[in-house]
Amino acid sequence: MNILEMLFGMLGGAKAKIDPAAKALTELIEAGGEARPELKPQADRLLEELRGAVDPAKLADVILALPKEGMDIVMLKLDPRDHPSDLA
Amino acid sequence: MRLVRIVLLGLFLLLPALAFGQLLPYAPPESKPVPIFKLAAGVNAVAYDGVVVPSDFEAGLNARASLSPHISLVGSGYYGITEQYWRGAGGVRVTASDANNPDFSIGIGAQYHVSDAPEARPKEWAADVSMGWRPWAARRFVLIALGQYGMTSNQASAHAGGRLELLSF
Repeated sequence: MNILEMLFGMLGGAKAKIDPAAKALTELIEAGGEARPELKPQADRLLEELRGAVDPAKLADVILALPKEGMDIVMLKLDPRDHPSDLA
Repeated sequence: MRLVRIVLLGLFLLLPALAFGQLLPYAPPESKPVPIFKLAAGVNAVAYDGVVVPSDFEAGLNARASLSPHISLVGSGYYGITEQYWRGAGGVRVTASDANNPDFSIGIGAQYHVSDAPEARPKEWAADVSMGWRPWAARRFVLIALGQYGMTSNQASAHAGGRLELLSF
């Protein structure tokens, strides 16, 4: 088994274990929005964000941007953004 | 199934957390530059898929340094309330969603985890996928969900919780 097979094997295992939790999260948000109508706008917005958050077509752009961003960091040219997921 | 069941229990925090967010004081959107460093207090419900590593509720702190539009350094220290352990983690995270959306993002990263109870929280590298959402954009309250996969233990874990931003500079 080479390193790539090992890596993809681990990622496959992780995906298989995380998928049910992601499905459960989606169902819980939907159920929460239906149970509490006053929170339905927030629940709908969260589901919309979750479904459209990562565009596979743009993911390649992100990956291609990383080396340049890495070089900028090394040269101390910092360009911060506010990402809520960084606090997870 | 155990993971799903406990995650559902943890995510039951979602509705009270949303209600709590409504109570926080409103601050109008700021036009100041985005700070590099942020510190936040947080609570988590944590569930592991294995029977060896116990699930728990945690309280602690998160810190992050945003260095570029997609690259951040992240770290955290948490106390497990039921199992009574301290754990810490530090690593790097890449934002996979729109880097300019301050209200919602998804990150992919890797962190090294340490703890004073390795049998409860293994010391290892773990890959993670994280989600952060500000239900009310101008408030300091963030809802999070985090999925991790331990590279040594081969245990998957799910974290759900809330963060209250304390400091930024």
